[in-house]
Amino acid sequence: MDNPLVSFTGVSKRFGQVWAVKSLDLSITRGEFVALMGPSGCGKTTTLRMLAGLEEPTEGTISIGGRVMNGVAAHERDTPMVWQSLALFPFLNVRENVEFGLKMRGVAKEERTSRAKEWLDRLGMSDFGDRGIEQLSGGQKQRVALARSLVTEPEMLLLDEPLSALDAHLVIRMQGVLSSLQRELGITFVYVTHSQSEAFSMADRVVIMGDGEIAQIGPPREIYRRPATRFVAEFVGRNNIFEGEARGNSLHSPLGTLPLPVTAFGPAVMAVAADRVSANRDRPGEGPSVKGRFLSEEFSGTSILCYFEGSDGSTIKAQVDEEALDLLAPSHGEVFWISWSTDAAHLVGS
Amino acid sequence: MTGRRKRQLANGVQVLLILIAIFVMLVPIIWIFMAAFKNHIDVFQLKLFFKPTLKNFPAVFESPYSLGHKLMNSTLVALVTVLLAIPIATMAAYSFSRFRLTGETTMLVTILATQFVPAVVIILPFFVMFRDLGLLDTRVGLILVNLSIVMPFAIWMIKGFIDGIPLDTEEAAMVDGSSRLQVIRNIVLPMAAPGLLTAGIFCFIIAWNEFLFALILTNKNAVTLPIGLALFKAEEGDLWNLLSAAGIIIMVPMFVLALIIRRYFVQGMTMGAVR
Repeated sequence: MDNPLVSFTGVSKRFGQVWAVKSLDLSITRGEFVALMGPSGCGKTTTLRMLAGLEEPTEGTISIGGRVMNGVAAHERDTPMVWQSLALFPFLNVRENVEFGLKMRGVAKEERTSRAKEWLDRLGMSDFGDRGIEQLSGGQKQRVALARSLVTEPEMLLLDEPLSALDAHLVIRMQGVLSSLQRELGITFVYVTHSQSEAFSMADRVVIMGDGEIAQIGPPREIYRRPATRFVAEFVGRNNIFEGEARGNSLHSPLGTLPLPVTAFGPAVMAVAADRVSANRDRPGEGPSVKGRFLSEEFSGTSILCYFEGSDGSTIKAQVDEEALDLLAPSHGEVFWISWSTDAAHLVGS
Repeated sequence: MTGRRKRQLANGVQVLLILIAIFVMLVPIIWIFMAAFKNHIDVFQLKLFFKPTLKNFPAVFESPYSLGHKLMNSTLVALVTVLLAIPIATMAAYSFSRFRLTGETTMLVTILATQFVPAVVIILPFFVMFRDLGLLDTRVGLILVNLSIVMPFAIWMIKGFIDGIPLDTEEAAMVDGSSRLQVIRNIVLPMAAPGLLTAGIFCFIIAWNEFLFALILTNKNAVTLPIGLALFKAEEGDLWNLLSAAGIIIMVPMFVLALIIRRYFVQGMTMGAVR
């Protein structure tokens, strides 16, 4: 990657006996929207905090714009952050909150006021300048937090699960606000989340972390369609995992012999996305298929996820639309054939 | 009996018990208020209606009692104690709250443990030290003693308030360009203000009411109001009317403080407690 804005080189962070981040190598280019995603305790927030200067790496170097930032205090960096708790200053009004960063940088009062106003206008909060923080709704607070972070016009904005405290409908609206802001401003967003939908809908690249390490980096579609490891396939969700012994073009699993998309030998894990499988009462003529007893269905707005139990007790998921479910009319315990085309399967690292 | 009647009865009993408790607490204060406006001969008569007089109040400021001087001593000692204790305790409490210090728990427990030592046990060492340092019967000496009394209390109390300030808020100020000291000044102090005020008032009350050390370590120049009360004796016995007038003078600042800071006080108390 040419001239990256941010480089993590062999960065590790230890808290007592626990390694929160292990030998992390990551480059982020200017203007990129990168999402760090992973389960709780995977090291994503620690990585973000090290970038902000709130934690010092135990090993390795972090560079921003070519400058090594190890030992540089948070207030000497230009890495504003939006918190999950928003961390607005409750004793200051909306305008004073937005002006805070400028005040700390010694910007004259008149300019502070006009820039704060400009940002409040931009985020549709111009009428709320004199309000107290406690008088705002969750979405309004979120906009103030964004204005406060962006008013200094930084090269990069760090966001630590900023939408996780909002109602579902607000999350979708704020995702739109964030995406368009990032595109308009052309600044780098480093976004920590455990929400797949947030990461996949906004980010140019997603970094999946697990146990302090990077499990996979790539565009959302690649992560979704071609998970590199079993951990990624399981974390991303809606993947069916088949484990067994690869012998050339087939996988010998407890559910039967299944064709592999590539030639392989030895223990292997194959993933098939739930939206690439279909459920039928009769066995399909060709292509891989396994038997499963219908367990339950989960309605998620546009699609329905049906859960089946394989003969070895494993769970098999099939994503169907409402029409297909009506045709299928499954009842609990009924046996179905779950099938897919061979090229929908993907061999993942164990 | 219906549920509603039962609730009304329970409420009634509750209110009655509270009124009894308040009455029991207020009896001595009511007695003092009445005695302060009585003539010496009326003091021991439990009459609710008597001819009130104001002459007790100017009398306590005159010779030989000269309460004005003691009032000045008490005010200066309590005020300077608070003005020194709160900033120092705030800095100590911030360190205990926000930094991982070596021997942190030991230090905190030691600070707390000093509160468990009875004053009479350490009064002799204080007396000997102050005699050698020439601090006997001085306001500076009393301020030092009061600092040693209020500091542990103030550190623990303020630490509770600072613990209650979300770390995110401080870090948000840091990434927005504030150094640690700016964070303390611009974020921690405003957010802990009700707590600092509460701690300050508590320290003021403790220093204002301190009796034992002032009794032993002062005899003329630095005598404070509580000690001054002991002066109201004459051949005919204790001068309860004058004593009561002086008592009111001691109590009034406390009442005024309580009224002024009532709102912050409740906020401060709950802020420290609920986290």
